[in-house]
Amino acid sequence: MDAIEALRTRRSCRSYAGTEVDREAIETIVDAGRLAATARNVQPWEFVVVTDEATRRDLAELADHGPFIADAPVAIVVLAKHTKYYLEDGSAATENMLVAARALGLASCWVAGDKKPYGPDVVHRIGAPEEMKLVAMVAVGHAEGELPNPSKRPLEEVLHWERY
Amino acid sequence: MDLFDAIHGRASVREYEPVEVSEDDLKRIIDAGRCAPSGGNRQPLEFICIKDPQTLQALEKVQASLGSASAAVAIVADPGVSRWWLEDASAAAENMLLAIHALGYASVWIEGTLLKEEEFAKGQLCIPAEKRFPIVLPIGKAAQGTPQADKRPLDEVMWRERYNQK
Repeated sequence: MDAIEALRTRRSCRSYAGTEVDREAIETIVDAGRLAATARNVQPWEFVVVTDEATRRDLAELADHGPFIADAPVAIVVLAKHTKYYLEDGSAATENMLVAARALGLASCWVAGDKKPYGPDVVHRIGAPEEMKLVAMVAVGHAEGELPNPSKRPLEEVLHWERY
Repeated sequence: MDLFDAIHGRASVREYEPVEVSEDDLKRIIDAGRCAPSGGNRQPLEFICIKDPQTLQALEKVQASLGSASAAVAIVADPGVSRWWLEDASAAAENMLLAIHALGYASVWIEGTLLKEEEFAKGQLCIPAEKRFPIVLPIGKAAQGTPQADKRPLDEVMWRERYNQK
């Protein structure tokens, strides 16, 4: 898919069909994450790909805004070492993955993440070192029904020329 | 350009040759930033598109690369609108870096040096006191093809089902 089209048409999907996502697609998506921009090229991230149903149910229960993690066939847990720019780097990686999923014809959604009280619980649940930070849980799968189209502030409203 | 070519080709470029960046391309770039997800769809971001060479020269104080850029995009965030403003700004920045590369230009994510001079930089662009200015992206033409930095291989960063499990 054309890059600009993928960037423009990505949407957050919270309703997934049961169809599985093949291994190659998952690797392509995580690969996109690992190629994101990162301060000083530190790459503080690790990606845990969760397909196991019991684990996904636990993660869905931990997340206050992520019940669909239990329905989507894949959840990619984005962790980062607590470096100075872990949040920016982790977010950049997450965004690359969301857009990559879109380009593969899949749907996804970013479930926070940082500043959520359940971060350490998620880190613990997937067996990661407790000092790692949770940046996102990314649900990936095939959309059930139409993709949502939430209202976005139009370009003219958010674009300023030369000065604010 | 195909998205995956953009993802693989995007690189941090800090020195540019002059190039004419069309208004259409600038709108496409900023639109890519606008289309990034935001926590709760709160959309705390706005963007300033800078083409005036005098402004770019003034911002050289933040980082030298801005001095040789043909344009720049400033990301302005309202922390009062969303506490996820930094994640949102980062997602927008990554989208715009991909768009910039896809359209044939080059850029680099400037943040650390900007935050050191945030008040000065906000003043240059008349950004209100209560807003944050965390990221600026210069836009130019790479003097020569710059490869992406060496990345940790996939099997080093990807685990299955549990951390440290293949």
